[in-house]
Amino acid sequence: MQCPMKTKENPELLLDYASGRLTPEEAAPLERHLESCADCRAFSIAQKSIWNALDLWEPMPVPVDFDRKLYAQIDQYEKSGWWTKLWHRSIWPAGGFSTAMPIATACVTLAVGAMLYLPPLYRHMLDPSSPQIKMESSDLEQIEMTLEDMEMFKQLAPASAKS
Amino acid sequence: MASFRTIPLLAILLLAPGLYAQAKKPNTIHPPRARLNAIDKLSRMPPEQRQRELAKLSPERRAVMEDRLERYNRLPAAQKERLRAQTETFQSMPPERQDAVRKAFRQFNTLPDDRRKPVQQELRRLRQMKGTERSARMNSEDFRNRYSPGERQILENLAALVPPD
Repeated sequence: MQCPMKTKENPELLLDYASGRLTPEEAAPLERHLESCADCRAFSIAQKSIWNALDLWEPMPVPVDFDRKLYAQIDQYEKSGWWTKLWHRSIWPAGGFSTAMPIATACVTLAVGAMLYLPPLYRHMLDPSSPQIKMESSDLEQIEMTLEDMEMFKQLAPASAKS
Repeated sequence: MASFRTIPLLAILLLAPGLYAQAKKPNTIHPPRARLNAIDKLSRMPPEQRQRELAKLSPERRAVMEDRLERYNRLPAAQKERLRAQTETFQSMPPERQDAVRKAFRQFNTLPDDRRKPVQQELRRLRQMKGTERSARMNSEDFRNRYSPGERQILENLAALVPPD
């Protein structure tokens, strides 16, 4: 028999053997191969340990009144008002937070975006009649530069324009 | 549902440029009109408040600024308006061109007294000329003989970049 691990022609054979799905006739040549092939033996042992672990696992028992409670909740939902149904469908669908979180993120994005792209100082400075505001040192620097530019124009202006 | 899940990703993409700009450039550069309005705002402040604002500057800078502010406020309305229009046009030019003009102006101010006047007169003449006429003047023998290379450079920068009156 050719090694399934090396040839990769029939890798499912090892999986079926480990899960006990092979007939004794199908398993016999593979078992003979496993005696001489360390790789296939190691793979087979690992797979069998997984299957053994799964065999040992027992699901949690379902409470006896599970069905009764489930149908009671469905019944309660059916009798509830349209706004409750709308709330559940639009805001709290099966995903729960998976919808609410993106909506909240979008709101925060808008708020942060407004703060980033529309600085209040800028809006106030565009309107000279707005109430007094505190100036930053960078604003003073820009005023300083503008006054310097004006000084330049005054000095370079023709004598007639100065009067 | 899948489209909802892309909202956080879109939020990051939308905010990233703003956050990057804020981090890289902490000081907001205001447009020219806003800067001019800020001068008016500073001028109209009650003296105590203006003093508080100007106290953020060093004493030397503060003195220069107070002096310039006072002289600006004393200008007749028409002259003030012309000055504002010139400054607004100038500050709308690309920053590197503005810097070249400012640098040339500072160099002009460091010229010896006996050289400043002729350079200033030449500059006024040049600014009245059209492009070809100005080029011809700057390439003339008379121009080269009258001004040093440094003075010619100042004249070239100021004449080409300062908008006409």
